[in-house]
Parts: sequence; C-alpha cells; structure tokens
Amino acid sequence: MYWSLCPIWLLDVSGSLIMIIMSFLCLGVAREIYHRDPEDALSAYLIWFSIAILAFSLSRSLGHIIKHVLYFADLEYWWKRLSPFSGSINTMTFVVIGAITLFFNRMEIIIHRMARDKEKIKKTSGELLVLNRDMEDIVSERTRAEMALRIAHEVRNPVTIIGGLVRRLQKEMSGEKKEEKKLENVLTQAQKLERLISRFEHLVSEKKKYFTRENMNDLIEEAGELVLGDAEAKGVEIVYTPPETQLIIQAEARLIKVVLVHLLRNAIEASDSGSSVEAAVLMHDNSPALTIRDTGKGIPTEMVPHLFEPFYTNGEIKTGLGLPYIRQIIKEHRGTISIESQMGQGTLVTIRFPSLFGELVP
Amino acid sequence: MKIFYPIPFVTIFFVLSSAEHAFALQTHAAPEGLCVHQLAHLFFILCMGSFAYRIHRTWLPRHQGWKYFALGGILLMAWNLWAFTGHFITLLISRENFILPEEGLVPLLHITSWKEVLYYVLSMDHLLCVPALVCFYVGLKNILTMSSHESGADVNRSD
Repeated sequence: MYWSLCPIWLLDVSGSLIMIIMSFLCLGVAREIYHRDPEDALSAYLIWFSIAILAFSLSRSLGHIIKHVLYFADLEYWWKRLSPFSGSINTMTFVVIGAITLFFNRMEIIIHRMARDKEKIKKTSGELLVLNRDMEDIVSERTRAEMALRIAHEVRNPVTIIGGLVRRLQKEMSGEKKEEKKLENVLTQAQKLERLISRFEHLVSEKKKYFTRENMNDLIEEAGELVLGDAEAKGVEIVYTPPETQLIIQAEARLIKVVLVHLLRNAIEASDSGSSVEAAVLMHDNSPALTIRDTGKGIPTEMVPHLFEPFYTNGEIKTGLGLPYIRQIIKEHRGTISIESQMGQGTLVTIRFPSLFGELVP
Repeated sequence: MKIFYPIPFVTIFFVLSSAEHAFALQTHAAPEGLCVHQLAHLFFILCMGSFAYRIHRTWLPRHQGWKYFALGGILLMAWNLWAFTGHFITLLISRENFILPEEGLVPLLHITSWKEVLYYVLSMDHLLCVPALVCFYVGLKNILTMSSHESGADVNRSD
C-alpha cells in the first residue's frame, strides 16, 4: 500500500504559514497590552512570551517551508547544509520559551503578592480617609464647643460685674423706692443671664464625644450582665473567656452594647435549655473581632443572605428591623458583620472592626 | 575506627595516579544533535505543564484570557509529546519506504507496518501547534479587551 505525502506537505506548508501569521498577531496584541501599562509585570511577561513564540514559529516554519522550496527547486543538498542550523535554532527557542515560562512561575507569585499588597494599601487608604473625615468632624465639633465656651466665659465676667455694681448701687440708694425697684429689675435680669451662662457651660462640657477608647472585654461583659436574666430564665449558660490581651477599639459604647445585647438575646432565644452561648473577643487578620456562637436550631440556608433585609420572609420566618439596625451601627464603626448558620448545628455571628480603630494592650 | 580515616585519601590518590590523557575539547558527535533536540522537547513539555498548572492553581483563571493561555500551554505540551514520538519513529523508517513516482514530484510512502502509519499521522503535528497559537492569540485578545474595560472603569471612577 502506498500513501502520498502530498497531504502532509500541504498541511506542513499551510500550517507553517499560519503559525508565522499567528505569532506576529500575538506579538502585535502583546505590544498593545504592554503599551497600555508598561509598568505592569504581566504585560512585560506577555511581550517576552510572544517574542519567544515568534522566534519558535519562525525558526520552525521557515525551516519547513525552505525545505520544501529547495526540494522542488532540486536543491536538496542545500537543505542538508542548512538543516543543522535551522534545527539548532529551533532547539534553542524551546529552551528560551521554557526559561521564560519557568521565570513566569516565580514572577506570578511576586505579582500576586504585589496585587494583594496593592489591595491592602487601597483598603487602608480608604479607612484612613474615613478616619480623617471623622477626625475633622470631631475637631470641628470641639472647636465650635470651645468657641461657645469662650464666648460664654467672656459674657459671664461683664454680667457678674454688672450684678456687683447693681448690688452696690442698691445699698447706696436706700430710701429711693422708685430707683430701687428699677435696680432690683436690672439685678434680676443679670442673675438670669448668669444662670443661663452656667447652664450653657454645663451642657457644652457634658456633650459626648463621637468615639471613645473602649475595651471590648468590658463591653461584652456589660452586655452579658444585661441579658443574664433572660439566659437564666431559659436555662442557657453564657460562656465568655476573656482574651489574654485586652483589645481596645474606638467606639460609641452605648451603641455597641445595643448590638451585643440584641445578638446575645437572639442567641439565647435560639438555644435549647441546658445549652450554652459562647462569646469571644479575638484578633482576626490583624483586626479586632468579636464572635457569638450558639448551638441552637440554626437558620435556613436560603434565609442567611437576606438576614439584614428588613421584613424579608421565606414563608416561615420573617426578619424585622433589629439586624438591619445592628448592621447600620457596625457600618458606622467601619466594621463588618457576618452570620454563618447551619440548620440543626447553630449560628455564628462575627463582627470585625477595622484595624485602624483597634489596638492591643499588653 | 581511626584505621578507616586514610581510605578517602588513598582512593583519591589511586584515581588521580591512574588518569588517562586529558583533552581540552570534548567532541560532539552527530547523534548529540537529536539527543539535545529531544531533551529540549522534554524540557518544553515540563515547562508548559508547569505553566498550565500554575495558571490553573492561581487567581489568573478568573480571567477568561488566562484560561486560553492554559489551554494553549496544554496543547503545546501535547504537541511536544507528539513531535518527540515523531522524531523517534522517523529513525525507525527506512529511506527505501519513500518512493518517488516516475511522473510525479511528491514521494509516496510505502506502508509495510504500523510504524509507517504512525509516522504518517505524527507528521501532521500542525494539527496541535496551530490551535495552540490560536489559543494564545485569543487569550491575548481577551486580556487586551479586559484591560480596556478596566481602564474605562478607572476613567469613570476618576470622573
């Protein structure tokens, strides 16, 4: 049986031409990607890879095409001279592509690390921006309060002097009933003004700050005490092991306690008598975090993504306003809240505060 | 045990004292070319394999373009294996099996065993390396489109 080599040759020549065209097209696109962002390491890799592929295609395809051309030109002996060079160059391109690819493997790890760091810096910048805005609000509020205090203080002095002078005049003008009555009225008004200033000063000094340094340990213990009655009534034990190091966050204590009490009550309600609710304070990915875990009946899987939506229902269970309110409070602290739950196994609530707001106290 | 201490020194002494003539240049015989080429194919297979695996294991497959790159790597790996086998089979085919007809330019291959059939099939290696390059091209186009979208999104954000 004899098979013609014509199909092989046709495929070889057409395939070689297509390879040359494709590798040039690859290089063109890689150049365009590279010019968009010359500092991007992946773009640089792509252009090097495309150059290596072009070298591989040219060395291989030109060799094949020249071989066929020389055959048909009856110059086969020329191919015998050329083929060692063509083959050697082709072999070299294998090694070059391999080396670039191996380099990519190492480079990819570095690129990935760089991308992660970039993302981290972006996140931190965002947090810093928010913190800066909060600080500006606090500073402006404090400045306004201080200015008001200063004005009040400056008004108090003349008012006190007026009061003193009127009292002295009253003593000196004893007997002149008409003037005495008028002075009495002036004194009453001056005393009114003094009391108003005192009340204003007291109010301004009592004004609460936006965020204060709060110990997470204290917050959870105080919230635990508030729900202790509910827990005892249900026969549920609240287990809280304080961390070895104290975690301090910048927070509005009253609001955070509202959150904790709500979550602890939910956990107690979901738990069976005799079971326990575990609360913990920990560092998670360099951020202070707080977890509340119960071993109760759990939440249906389809409900979990909608827990923070008000009045969402799956037909059996309906959400209220509690959890959306809690998420709002946590968001105002630049934190996150997540709920993981499995039917029959219980629920885990995790609250994370941004790292910038928290610090470790040794 | 101190009696064994001189053994390495004695061994080195005998090895050195029994040396032959040393030639400055090592000769490279003709078969070395094929050997190097085949080893390069094996190296190429390993590199393309690790390339595709690396892409598969990392964050890159999230982008469609890199999926095509991984596929191109796998196709090139298969092509290398194909070509590696082809080079071996070529050695087993006798030149007498290639016959040039009296009135023709293209030779015929005399099929006498499975080796000629395998040689015929393996000679069509473009069926693998051309799709590999097409995959790289489509992958690059995808990456380009993706980067255009990203830069467009950046412009919108900055607006």
